[in-house]
Amino acid sequence: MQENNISEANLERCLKCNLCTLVCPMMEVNPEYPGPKKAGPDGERYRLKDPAYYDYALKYCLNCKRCEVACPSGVEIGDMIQLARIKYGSQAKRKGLLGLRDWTLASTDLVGSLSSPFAPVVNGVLGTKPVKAVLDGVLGVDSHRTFPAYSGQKFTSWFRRQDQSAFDKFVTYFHGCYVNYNYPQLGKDFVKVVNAAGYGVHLLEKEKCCGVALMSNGFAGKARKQGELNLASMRKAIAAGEPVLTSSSTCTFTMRDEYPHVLGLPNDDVRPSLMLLTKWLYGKIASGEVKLRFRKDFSMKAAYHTACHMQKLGWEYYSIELLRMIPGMELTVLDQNCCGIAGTFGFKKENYVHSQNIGSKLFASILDAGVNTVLTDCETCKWQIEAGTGLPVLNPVSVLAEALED
Amino acid sequence: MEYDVIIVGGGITGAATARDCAMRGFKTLLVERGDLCDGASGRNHGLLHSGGRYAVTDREGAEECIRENRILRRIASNCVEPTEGLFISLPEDGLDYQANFIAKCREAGIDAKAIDPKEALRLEPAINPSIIGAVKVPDASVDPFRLTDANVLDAQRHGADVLKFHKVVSLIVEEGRVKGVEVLGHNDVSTKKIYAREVVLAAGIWTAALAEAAGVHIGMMPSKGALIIFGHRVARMVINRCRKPANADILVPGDVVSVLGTTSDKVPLETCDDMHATPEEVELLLREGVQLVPSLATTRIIRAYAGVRPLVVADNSGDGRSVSRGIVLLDHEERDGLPGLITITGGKLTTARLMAEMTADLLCRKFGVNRRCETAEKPLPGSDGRKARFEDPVEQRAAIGRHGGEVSKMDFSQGREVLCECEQVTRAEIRYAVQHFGVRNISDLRRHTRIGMGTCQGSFCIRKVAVALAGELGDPSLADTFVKEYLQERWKGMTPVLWGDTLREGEYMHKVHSL
Amino acid sequence: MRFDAVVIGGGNSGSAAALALVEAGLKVCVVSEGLSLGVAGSAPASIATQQNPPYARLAELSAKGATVLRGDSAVSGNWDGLKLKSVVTRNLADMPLEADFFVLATGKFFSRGLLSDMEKIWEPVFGADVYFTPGRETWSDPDFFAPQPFMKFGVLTDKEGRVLFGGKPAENLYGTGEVLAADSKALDINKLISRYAGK
Repeated sequence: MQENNISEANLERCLKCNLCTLVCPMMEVNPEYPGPKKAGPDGERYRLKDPAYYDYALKYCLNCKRCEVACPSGVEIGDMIQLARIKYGSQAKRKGLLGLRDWTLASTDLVGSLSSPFAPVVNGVLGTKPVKAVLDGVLGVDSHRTFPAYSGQKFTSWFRRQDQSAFDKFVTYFHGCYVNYNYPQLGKDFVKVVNAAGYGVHLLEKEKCCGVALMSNGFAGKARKQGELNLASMRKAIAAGEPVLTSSSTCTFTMRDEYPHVLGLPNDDVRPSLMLLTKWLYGKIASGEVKLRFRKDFSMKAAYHTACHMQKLGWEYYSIELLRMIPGMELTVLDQNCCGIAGTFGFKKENYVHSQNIGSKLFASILDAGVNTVLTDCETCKWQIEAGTGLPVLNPVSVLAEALED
Repeated sequence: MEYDVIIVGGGITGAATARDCAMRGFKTLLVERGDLCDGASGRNHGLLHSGGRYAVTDREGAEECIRENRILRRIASNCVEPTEGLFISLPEDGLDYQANFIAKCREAGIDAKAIDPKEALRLEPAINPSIIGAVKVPDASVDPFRLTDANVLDAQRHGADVLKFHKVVSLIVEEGRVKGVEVLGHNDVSTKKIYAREVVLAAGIWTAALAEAAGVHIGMMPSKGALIIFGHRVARMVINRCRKPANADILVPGDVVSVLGTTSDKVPLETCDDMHATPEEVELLLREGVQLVPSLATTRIIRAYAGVRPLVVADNSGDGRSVSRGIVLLDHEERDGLPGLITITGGKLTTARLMAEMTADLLCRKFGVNRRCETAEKPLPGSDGRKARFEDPVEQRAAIGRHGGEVSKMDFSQGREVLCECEQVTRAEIRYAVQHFGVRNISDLRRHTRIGMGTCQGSFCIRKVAVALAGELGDPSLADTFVKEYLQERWKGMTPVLWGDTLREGEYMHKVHSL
Repeated sequence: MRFDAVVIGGGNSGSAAALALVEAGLKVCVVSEGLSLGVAGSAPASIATQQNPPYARLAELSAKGATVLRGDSAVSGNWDGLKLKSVVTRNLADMPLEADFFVLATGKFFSRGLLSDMEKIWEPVFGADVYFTPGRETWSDPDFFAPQPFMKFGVLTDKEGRVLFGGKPAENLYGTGEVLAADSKALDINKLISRYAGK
């Protein structure tokens, strides 16, 4: 009895040591944000008494989970804040147009699929000044932001024409919205690397957005539906003996950890088979099953940025070690700092300044490192760092693909 | 200088009596040896009884409870939280007791309604899922500190004087009558005499010794009750066991914590000044408590404590629980031939107002005046229906929840800074407590706010609080002593439960403050 | 995943040991579950600052090429008799950390290097021998400011600082810092370096 004080999100393990406040990127730049301890376990005790104690400033939480990584007590501080936003935040929901803005930012696959066929038009329109002013003034999307460009051809359309029948063993690829609508090249690189490892690629029978943007914008119900659908598809792939691999740290983290913790979707059966390509590939190389042959003329001076959710997964080791296997790769591992974008967070007008202030430390360390490329496993970090430093940002998978011997 | 009435004891009974006396226009003095709620009033469940617990064994007590329950919901809205309560039956309890229980509740005027076990689990998912029956009753949670404070504030606003930190060393008996009290202040070397037409003893278990010194014997049976505090609210409602009252069969959601109790053991009178829960009591409470709410087995315990019920008996036998918790009002002129002295004791937190009314009625008869009791109609200070709302500034909400309308006396423009983070106590609230309750140290401050009562028991914030309090009191050199005294006092409640996360907190506290 | 040394615990003692090993040229992995309080006796206000020594040391370890697994925790070990072959962590569960030797530096109760219930105290990663007195009323002193008995409890080691199991020392698991019982001997970092660095 009483050996392990379990409560929802380990609320009671909090000893009030405040180590989480040491690493919270938002607290540092925004005095309105009460910080992880007050927003999480302190606030939760009062919210359990009466939801009227819910603090609207919880909206500033980036859900970066750095507090959880720092916590010596295993308190799921970030989860607690996410859950509070879902449970108690409805009374605080903004009405009208801001709601539409959040919905637009959250509905990555719907907006993506509407936009792709008209990509040149959408890109042109989203980038022009009058439209930006409307987005800024009416929708509350900051005018400094450029929406990630929508690609003309969806990844899935390209993939349908790829012949993978020559392989006798397969992995299943969860590509995510970003690869499908905005950056099919990463998907193509993924296929190239997996094929080079001797495996063919399948896609899930059905794939929906992982739901991270829906959750952080308060649409938990819709996120849950999409999560159920994704899990069902993944179970089929896993039953067929295929691991489900990804190329985005945030989608991976969301489906592995936020599904059970925040959405209440059990996934113990799926978790061991759901991982980033870099983790899977490292394991295959370490066990001697796979050998990659790299070009001799490859050369890159790059800095690796550990995305917040990558840090929470604890998997940056795999990406870094793979990158270090590439001859001609001169790699600097950056000190762990948040870039400030936090998915759709940094797109909101009210968050733009905080987002940039948080990122400034990281931008400075990148510029100091004297590199020509930045590498990271997260697509939203990519937008932010490209905008903040002017340097190209690549996913390690793309670098591996480029460095492979043809 | 002479008072109409001197009331000895600053617990809930004395406070309520002071309020009633002052409202009836008597020149009133309340004397307390320490701070308000130093005794049993600060060491109980914080349960506003519906009367259900007494319905089967004590009809009169049950009727008193439900009447007072309704009154307090009205006049003390910032102290009472209408959580409602459940009496649950487990398989081993059977349902026979329940049938009788409901019938007796109805006879006493308590709205007791049997509900389907499934419905009970829906209302309160934390309860033992193996229940075979449940009865919903109008139990509620009441904060004893706040209720006592509100009574004292109102007494003062009606002209009463309050003398805290003054121990009554003897009753002044002259010409065969009690004429006042001789008191010794905490910082004084000599006593002083204060005279009154009548002295009311409302000092709980300490009443016996005071009366004895004046030659009056009151047979009191100190009954120790141990309780444990869990770190957060595990249930929204008061959870009782529907069986003959026994150990550890009530769980109360008190403010942001849960309080499980109690035990009932006869203890020697001389131990009453140093009460603490023992490891055995903690084990017993936990063993029984998990029958009510299974998740208590894995919920963090913040501390354990114990209080003493001032039960009055004809002889000194019995186990304490079989003795009625009934109100005992003794007119010593009539009973012992000693005029000028009245004792009010027994009773419970829920019925304190009624005890005060009975006492003030007796005083009216003695003084030959006819003044109506108004304490059941007039709301207490802070009780204006003000509740914390989402629209209120976030740092003020906890103070509004605690003090209701009294927050208008706090200056948040000068004190927004949150000093106790677990309980969200600001500098403004500290200043208010210093100004209105004559706080001398952090333990006093705790009773009038909730400072240091949270998960960390002061580990993180206490130095900040001590510096702020010392500053408010105008003597910064006090801060070190404040910290030392407070942590030592908290340690007393932590050691009986020092394992698991409480031991982790203990190590943290020890490293930060004692090395 | 193979290292020369795996240090479990990134607090004061663990990070200091790891740094010495890295500077001696060893390939080191540090498993740091959460941040550490830093030095005992520090005021709460100074805990949450970047002057917190272990906090700064973890960054230094990364910069010097050590693998720092932040927010990860050791769950169990794979043994060959009394020789520890590898350590399993929560985040990297399917790829245990192999090494020539291991350092246990998980701290006391605060950092969960030692766990307790109403009756007993144990070391959760490996189940090492732990010293504590029976009866929890003996664990604390009623005087808060007196030395507390529970601060003396901890893992037992031999005179080389090797962790004991059923009274026998593990071949290559060394203890250091607060996880150890007050009378247990900690590892000797110079001996470890001379034994493992030149191999």
